[in-house]
Amino acid sequence: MTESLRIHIKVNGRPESAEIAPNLMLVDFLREHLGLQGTKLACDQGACGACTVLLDGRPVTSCLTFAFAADGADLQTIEGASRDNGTLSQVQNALHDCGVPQCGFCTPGMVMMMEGFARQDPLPPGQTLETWMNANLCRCSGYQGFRRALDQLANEAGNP
Amino acid sequence: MTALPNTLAHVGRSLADVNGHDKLTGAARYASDFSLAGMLHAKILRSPHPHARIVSIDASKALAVPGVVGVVSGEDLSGLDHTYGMFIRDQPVIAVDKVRFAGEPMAAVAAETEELAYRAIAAIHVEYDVLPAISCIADALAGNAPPLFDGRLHPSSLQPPPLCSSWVQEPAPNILFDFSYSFGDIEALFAGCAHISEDRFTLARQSHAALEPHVAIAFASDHEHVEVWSNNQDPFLLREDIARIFGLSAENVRFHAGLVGGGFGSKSYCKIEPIAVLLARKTGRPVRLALTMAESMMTVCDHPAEIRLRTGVSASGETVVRDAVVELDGGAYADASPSVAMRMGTRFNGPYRWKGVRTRVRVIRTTTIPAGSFRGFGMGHVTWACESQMDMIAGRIGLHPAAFRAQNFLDPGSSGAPGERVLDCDLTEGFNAVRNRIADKTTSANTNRGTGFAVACKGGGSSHRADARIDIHPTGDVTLAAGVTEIGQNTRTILTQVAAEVLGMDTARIRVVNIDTHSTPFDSGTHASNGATVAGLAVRDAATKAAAEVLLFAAGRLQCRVEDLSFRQMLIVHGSASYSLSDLIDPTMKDNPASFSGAASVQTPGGSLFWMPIWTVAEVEVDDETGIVRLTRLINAADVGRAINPQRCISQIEGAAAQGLGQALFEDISYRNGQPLTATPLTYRMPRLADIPADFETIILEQGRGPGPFGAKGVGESGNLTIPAAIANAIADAVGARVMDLPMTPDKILRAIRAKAGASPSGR
Ligand code: FES
Ligand code: FES
Repeated sequence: MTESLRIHIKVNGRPESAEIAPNLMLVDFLREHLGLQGTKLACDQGACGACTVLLDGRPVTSCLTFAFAADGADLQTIEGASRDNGTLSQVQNALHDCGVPQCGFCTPGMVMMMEGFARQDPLPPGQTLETWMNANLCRCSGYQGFRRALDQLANEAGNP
Repeated sequence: MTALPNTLAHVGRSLADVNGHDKLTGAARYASDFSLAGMLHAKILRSPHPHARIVSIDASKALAVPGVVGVVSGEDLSGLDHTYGMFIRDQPVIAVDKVRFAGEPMAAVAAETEELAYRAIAAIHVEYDVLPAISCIADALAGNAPPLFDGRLHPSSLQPPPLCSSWVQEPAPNILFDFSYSFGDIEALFAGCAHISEDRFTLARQSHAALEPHVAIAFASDHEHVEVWSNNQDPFLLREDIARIFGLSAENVRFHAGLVGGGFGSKSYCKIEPIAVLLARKTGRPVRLALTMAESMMTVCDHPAEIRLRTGVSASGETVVRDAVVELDGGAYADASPSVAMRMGTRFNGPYRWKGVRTRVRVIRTTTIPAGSFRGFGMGHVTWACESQMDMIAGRIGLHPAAFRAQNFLDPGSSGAPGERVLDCDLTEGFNAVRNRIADKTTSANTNRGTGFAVACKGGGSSHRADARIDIHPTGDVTLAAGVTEIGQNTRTILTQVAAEVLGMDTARIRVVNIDTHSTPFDSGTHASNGATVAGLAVRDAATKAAAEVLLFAAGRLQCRVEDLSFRQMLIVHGSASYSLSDLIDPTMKDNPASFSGAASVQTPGGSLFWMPIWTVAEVEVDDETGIVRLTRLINAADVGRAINPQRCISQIEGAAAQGLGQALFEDISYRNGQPLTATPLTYRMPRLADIPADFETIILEQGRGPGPFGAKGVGESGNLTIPAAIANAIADAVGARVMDLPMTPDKILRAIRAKAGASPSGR
């Protein structure tokens, strides 16, 4: 592929500009061009959600999203999920408290899915975080840690 | 949890994963994140045909693609010891002369980018002479089945058969292995039984589908040396395999392993690593071979199987004698199948007393994905058949399934078969733990709701060697090195807790290092739930020795007897005085140690080192119009001896249970016309959060008889074993219909319900 095109993306608040091939996938752009390897490539078919990032606040599977489709967008990856001072976000803390990471390969995608939901304003009608989480696979766990974390987050939301 | 009294500081506490912060922030690094300067990217050309002779391979067009640096195919294997397999070495690194399953590696390309490698494999031209496919056991055993191999025996390193058993390697075309086991006078015992049940059960092809696909990065600095970074869970075994295949000395082969993104058996033993090494040697450059998850699913799977059970019981419902005949579909190549056959072949007694058990397990070759080790190593197969049949027998002789089980459990301290390890758990206590919970909870009067039990007991930790080293640095930091792979069982956390307990120190100051076979103490592989138990013992002993080194040195510096000193919280206490390690380091002296080291090695005997029991009750609702089953409640109890980290034990059991749930209800790589239909992550249905019952409970029992540190035992392989049978038993309880073929999809359930209605027009 000889053609290339230039894209401008804000990644975790930082403006990035790059010359890319039109068939470059967003996950490869992040992992290989920007060196942001926290985003994981697992199924490469949109089935597992390990590669989830937030594109203008909405979760997308970066393995099925062309990098050019993110041109002009505001992108959030796992590297930007923690608080500015480097401590864990509320979502990450809940997952930590509930003993979630096992092998950890699904974890960045799970965190981003939950962060994405937390940023929905207004909340999509009739949808819950639990239904969103069905988009992501974890092969190590029985999802109970995630459920406990969801409960913890709900409690925290209830008593801010 | 039913806990032992705990006066320990670290053991028995639910310490969060020591790598948890990195995993949650994206900082954790896996082999798939690793790269080397100048690295090439490899892709594998896979056979589209399940069975064919290779007439010719023309890679000239691939080599002409700019950026393609090297191509390898079967002919590059000449002069090498080119096959591998755990006990029987029949699998070529790349197909030679023939392909034996759709998806088998035919050739591999290394190019400057992965995209170029993809283009290049598409440019390789292969001419095949297509042969008939053998998609299932029945096809393989049919009289006119074409043989997969020419009939010569493959090189093997089979272990002598265990007590009461015998085996034959490759006894007939398309039969890889034939294992027999027997104790007791089987036919005489059957003759004396009041009831005899004969039933047939089948299992489908389950995929491990770990989230991180297989990856290997290889570099050969010269013809004598190879260095590999991979996510294989057996770096030390791989070192031997690579050395043997390429004729290198094992010291010149170096494997690295860090965090691994899940395995469940798929990353054990030799897999794709030799292809990466072959390309690295051919190109002289580092080569990264990263499979897609779909390719990983084509690399190894669990065994589809047929199990016929004939079981005799006395008039009062005593279990007397069992005869099991098993055919395992081993796929095209041996992988770990002979070992799986031997393990499962000796375990058809399950958790009950018998006067005689006879088993025959044959591994059949088919033109399908090679089957290998999968969490439970055949015990899931055994438990599916035996625990389903326990309920069927109970029904036939008019006993309650729970009572029938309870009256036949092996007693603690007794042995279930000649030479078998005595039972180190209390089956009755565990069973009552789940039985009482369900009695407490069942409230619904819904007629299509039922409950089912299942119990299993898997051996763990056999024939294993684990070494460990502890280095106490003068700063008060500790480095822990052990060859057990961190694959999501959180073994680093468990070992950290063991070391912290022995050294009386803060877990935060212990660092577990990645594995490097040049410097990390040996480990014979992360298998059979041995990590916490066997490596745990090695870490305990290494820490004890390192602490003794500290005291010996301190005694010299303080001019006192070692016995007058103690070492807690990184302080050396002498009477009322206490010293830090750095206090004792005298810069004017030459004999200051860089660190205080302790090394230990633990070798376990063959046979089971401990038992991993699991007790399960499932509750389901069955829609008898659609055949859809809803799992409404799942309760597991497991004995862990002593929980070093209760949360980690629970996670292991919950995660295994989810895999068991998938196996029960939908997981299956099915074949049509020799082609896999569902060997991709998109088409292979796996459990998601919504599949997990809201009422899902895990009870950890500490029965205190584990051989590991502080009385621990392994727990990684028990949680999935019982789930399919417990669900089948619950379905039968709900609607009176029995499904004997996994997975229990709605169509099979409906058929069973209709067959039942047809058999008894009065309804259930
Ligand atoms: S890797 Fe993108 S959805 Fe699985
Ligand atoms: S922790 Fe391994 S896949 Fe989720």
